[in-house]
Amino acid sequence: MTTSSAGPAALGADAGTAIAKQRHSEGKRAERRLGLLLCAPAIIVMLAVAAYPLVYAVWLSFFRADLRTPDDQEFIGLGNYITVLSSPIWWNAFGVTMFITVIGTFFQLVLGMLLAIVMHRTIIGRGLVRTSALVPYAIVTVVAAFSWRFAWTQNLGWLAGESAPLTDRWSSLWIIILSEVWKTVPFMALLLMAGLALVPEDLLKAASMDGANAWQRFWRVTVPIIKPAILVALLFRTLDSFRIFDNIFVLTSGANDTASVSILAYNNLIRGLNLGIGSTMSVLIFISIAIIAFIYIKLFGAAAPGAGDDRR
Amino acid sequence: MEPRFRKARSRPWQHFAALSAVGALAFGLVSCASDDTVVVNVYGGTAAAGFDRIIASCNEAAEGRYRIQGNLLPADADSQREQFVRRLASRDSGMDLLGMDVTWTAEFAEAGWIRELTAEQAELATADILQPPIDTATWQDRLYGIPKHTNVQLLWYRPSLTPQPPRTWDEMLEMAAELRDRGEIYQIGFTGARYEGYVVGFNTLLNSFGGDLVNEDSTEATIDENTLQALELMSRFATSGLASASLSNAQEPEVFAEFQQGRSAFSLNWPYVLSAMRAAAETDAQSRSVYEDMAFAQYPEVVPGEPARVTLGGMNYAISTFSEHPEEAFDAAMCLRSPEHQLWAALDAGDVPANVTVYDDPEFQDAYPMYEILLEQLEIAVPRPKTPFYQNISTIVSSTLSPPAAIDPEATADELRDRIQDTLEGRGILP
Repeated sequence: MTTSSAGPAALGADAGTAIAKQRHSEGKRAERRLGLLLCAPAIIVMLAVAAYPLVYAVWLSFFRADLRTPDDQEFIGLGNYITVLSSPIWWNAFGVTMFITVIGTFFQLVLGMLLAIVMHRTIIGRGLVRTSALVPYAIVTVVAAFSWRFAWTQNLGWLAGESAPLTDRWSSLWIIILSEVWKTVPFMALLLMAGLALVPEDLLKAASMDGANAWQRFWRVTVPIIKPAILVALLFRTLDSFRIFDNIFVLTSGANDTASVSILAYNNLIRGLNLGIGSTMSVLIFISIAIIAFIYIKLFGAAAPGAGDDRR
Repeated sequence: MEPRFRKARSRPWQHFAALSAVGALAFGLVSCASDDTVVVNVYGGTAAAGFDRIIASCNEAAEGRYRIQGNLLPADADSQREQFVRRLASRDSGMDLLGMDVTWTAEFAEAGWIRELTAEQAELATADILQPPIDTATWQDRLYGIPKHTNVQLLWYRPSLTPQPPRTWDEMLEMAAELRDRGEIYQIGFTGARYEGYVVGFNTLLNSFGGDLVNEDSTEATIDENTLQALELMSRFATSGLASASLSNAQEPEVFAEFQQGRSAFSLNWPYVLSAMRAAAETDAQSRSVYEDMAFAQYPEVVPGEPARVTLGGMNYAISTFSEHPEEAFDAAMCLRSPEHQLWAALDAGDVPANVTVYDDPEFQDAYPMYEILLEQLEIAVPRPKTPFYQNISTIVSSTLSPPAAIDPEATADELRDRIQDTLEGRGILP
């Protein structure tokens, strides 16, 4: 309740309450104003760096716009979308991206979980284990990708020998997935380890007393508790994997049908200078990512602590 | 050490004095460097061997009117173009003189990024220059570039295997088949990987049959009987078993390596093969044996009786629209590619001169014994399709015709027509 006792004794209790209320709401309003003011720079910067290019990209995607023919701009409605969505090149890249996303994320989750458990349970040299596990994540992606590329180069790399796996589609795709998994397993493990720290030891001990073996304890106790952490990790990694660019750019630059949608957008926008088609692809990637995020957040919402109480 | 640090820290004015001294020094250096001389920034080709010597010579000749500054670009053509395009699209005035691949003229001109030469400049820039390089610097009858160097492929062969080089493609295929039957080395080296070099090779075949990929003003794909013939020849060659097994992965280095290792009897490659083999022969016995048994000939005829129309390589200078010193840039370009400096570039970097007089120089003739063949081929050499969309068309051609052995002439021609036409109409998607 309000702090009516603060009012002078001469005034009636009701009047005092009213003044206090007014003061309080005034304070609240001032606070909100201050809050908005404090947020404003961030919002303005966000609008400038994110909203403007986004809206501009959407705008451009409705035009025939090519930097090489600046006098030949024309509004063509959904023409670019029809062109892109009816192109086998786009769908091939989409398939490649989905393949890398699904397979890559799966391995990242499994290996990340293993690594997280190891890091969580390590007793000797804990700091060393955790630090060394994080090394791949600390290396700049492009640098790591270059070392992978050299490792898989014919006659030069220690992994390739006489073969040239980066000139073939499927072996290239697996190498891309491998380097992606290698790079991000530590990140996955980090997120999952944060989840593991939340699991009360007592609960595991109790389960143990009830006769649950290690697998049952993990599957029936740990996983349900860290489900939110798993989903957040999966969400991050799925979104990141869907936007995969640098690894492919260095390893194959999209040759032999290994281009992801981001590579395709880059090729058309930056290399091909076709602003219309390139923007259309960017918008389509944006939409795909929004859909993925939406699906996950729906799932995540259902599994969040509190929200799932009725199911227990 | 410790006490001295303490002492310094306790007297901030010393820091200030030191800082001001450094600042004054730095300012002095900066003002020294920019003593009002116009700086002409050159991009492209500046990493070539011996180019710094040419720049120094031109700077001396400029007598302080301007100073040429060479700038580095990435090594491969695609990345070079990307940097140009990105900076030109944002109207960067920091680039004055652009060393451009011969295929970019139409694109850069159409986008308004490079200046058309004035009548007076055009006269100076084309005097004493071979016609085909001038063509590569021209878009819709306007001259945008100052031809610097040029290039055409030759046929390299092994006289011990075939004393007389094949005159035509058919003859070359026959000879190779014969060599194979005799158990000799027989392979024909050709750049068939999915990249620009494959387009160069295919463009040669196509033009020699009398065809082209786009029409004059680049509004339509011109796929016709000639295209079909070129595709048939390409397919026949790729499936004959006479090409290297790695034809679909072969770029210039691979084609060169196969020749160097004595695995190919014929090799279609640029003139650099001679100087590269000469250098390799100095240290490597295998290379020496090839070097002592190699010769060059005209690129084989595609239509018997008509010399092949070989695709032009090379580089032109263009002046950026956004340059603040176009006059100085033009003068700098003329100096950088003066006959004298072209000779230097030919000897140091292997750049084939665009300047006719250089071919008369004994020193040049000595280093380029194939100069007569080069001149003959250069007379009728052809540029790659002239269109602002060349980059896209090149990608489409190399991907549609890859791998060479999978070409099905009729179907491939149709696919080529559709995809090139789409690109010309702005609907093409780059893979």
